[in-house]
Amino acid sequence: MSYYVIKRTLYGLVTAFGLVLLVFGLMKLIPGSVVNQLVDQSAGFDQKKLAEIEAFLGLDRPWYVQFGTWFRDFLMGDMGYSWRSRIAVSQLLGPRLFVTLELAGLATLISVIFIGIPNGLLAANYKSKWQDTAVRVFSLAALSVPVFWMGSMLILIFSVYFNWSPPLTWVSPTDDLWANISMMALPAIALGLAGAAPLVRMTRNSVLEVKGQNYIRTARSIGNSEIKILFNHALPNASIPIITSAGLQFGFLLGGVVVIEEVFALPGVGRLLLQAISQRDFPVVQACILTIGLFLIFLNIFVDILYAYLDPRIRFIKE
Amino acid sequence: MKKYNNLKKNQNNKISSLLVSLKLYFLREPFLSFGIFILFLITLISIFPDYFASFDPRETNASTSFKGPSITHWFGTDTLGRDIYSRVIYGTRTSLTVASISVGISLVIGSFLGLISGYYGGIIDQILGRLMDIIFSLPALLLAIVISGILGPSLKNAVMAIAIVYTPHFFRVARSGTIAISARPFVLSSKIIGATDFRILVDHIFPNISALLIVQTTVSFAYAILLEASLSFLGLGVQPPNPSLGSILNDGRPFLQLTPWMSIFPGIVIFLSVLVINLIGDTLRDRLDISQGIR
Repeated sequence: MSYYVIKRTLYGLVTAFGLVLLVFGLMKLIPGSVVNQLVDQSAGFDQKKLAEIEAFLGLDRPWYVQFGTWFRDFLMGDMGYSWRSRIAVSQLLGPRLFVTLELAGLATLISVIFIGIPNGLLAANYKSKWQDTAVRVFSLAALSVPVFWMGSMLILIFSVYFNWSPPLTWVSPTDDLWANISMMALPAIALGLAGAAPLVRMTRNSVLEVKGQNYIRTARSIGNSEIKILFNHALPNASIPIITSAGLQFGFLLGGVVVIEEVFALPGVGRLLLQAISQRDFPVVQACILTIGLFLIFLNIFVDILYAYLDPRIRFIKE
Repeated sequence: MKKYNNLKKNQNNKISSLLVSLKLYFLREPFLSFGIFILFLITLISIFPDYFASFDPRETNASTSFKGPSITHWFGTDTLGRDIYSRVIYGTRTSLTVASISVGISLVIGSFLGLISGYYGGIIDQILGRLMDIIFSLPALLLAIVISGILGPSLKNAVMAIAIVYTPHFFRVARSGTIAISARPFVLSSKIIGATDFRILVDHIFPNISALLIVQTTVSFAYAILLEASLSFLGLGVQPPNPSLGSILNDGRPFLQLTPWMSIFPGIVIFLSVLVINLIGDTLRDRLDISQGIR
């Protein structure tokens, strides 16, 4: 087990370092020089002055030296300053990360507990019957709805019929839990629905696989009811792949969070990113994508290790 | 028996017999044939939008702005008095074009690299594999937003962003398929009789992984339409005044309560297009028996 953990972690660290390098490289693709982006074009700086600013920012050094300095600062938690607001990027990001993670977490919860598992169980229990087909069409439909459109439609329906409108300021759950939940419910539903299809499929397939096992036949032959077999024997044994795919789904939903935050005007990382892109505030863009990317890489390592821990068969194959 | 007689009578007529076999096919594969039928319609609309649109999608008309759906303007009009129905028709064309070009690029590059990586293994495989893992580690939408945001919002950059995002998907499928097929005896035998690597890859491995690639193409195509819509919705895709399904939704966003038709209809079109492609992909996945190729 420890061999597997070390191997998986090292592998993840290589990917993480690659990501850091890639994001650093992406910023070099920006058309025009950084100095041109920074200074006001109308101010009439001459070439000499521009070169001076470039030297001051260290942009005249070779890229690997720039990368080294930047990476050292990054490891120490210094992600630079926003070009527009002059606030430290880490300070901008901190509170927004919480909103994004809360939203993605709630959405995962909805897609696993309220959509994925019930539908997957239904489809597995009525394999090849009309219920199975209905669940399949439903989950494909959920997969096909654009998340942002779903969000807009929910706002529309709730504003027309319930006179509800998305609140303007965000409330932290520690201040007012109810206000926070009522604010997060609709975006989480829209997002959770979009991410539910793989979970439905995973639940259905793993429950079906377990239902073919001998101990299920034994449980049935000693006279257990179908419901009891399903919930006491099939579901617990099928839950390992469901848990791990829920972990991966959490990562997928972090991507969808960007648009849904924009639709519901929630102050999360996604909105910060979009705002930074439209203002061409690249240190912030860099920090946003790195934070989410690194978070996902470490989440994947964690999920893989958890999977191996829960299911010894995996770690023996992988070793 | 009566049914059978009807069938027999119709056999003389070629068209009716075609219809009968179509009907039988429809009964056997309802999802697939429904999906193909709708996809055919959507493709037709996006190839010949002039025959379907009733107005110029970019023509503004102040006197007709903010009108709800009516006989002249089926889906209503937007803030500038443009006909939403015509914009949706042309927008479908843009969205499908962007999605097919970008998925085409990822298909070619991703499966080429995947074939090479899976067949040769070693250091090439290590480097390419790590690179694709890094791209794969970011959520698709996030990566596409950042790429098109950095390069500057335009149609071309949106295509490039979507192509980059989906390349690792094809890479993974092609690579794992190639590894599985390479281990089969027939590949070994052709090596023994002296076939070149190129010949083995093109004649033996590629045809055997093509089913995997077809399914992946269908699935990615559906996602690419959603991704393009999301990018345009955020203003990072097609630039005004050209319509795309996502950008019409973006135009309608500030007036959601006032002119809901601007948001409802383009969304339904996106939903339907993606749904039928997903139906086709899901059925193909079952029918082509994908599991045989990988394991």
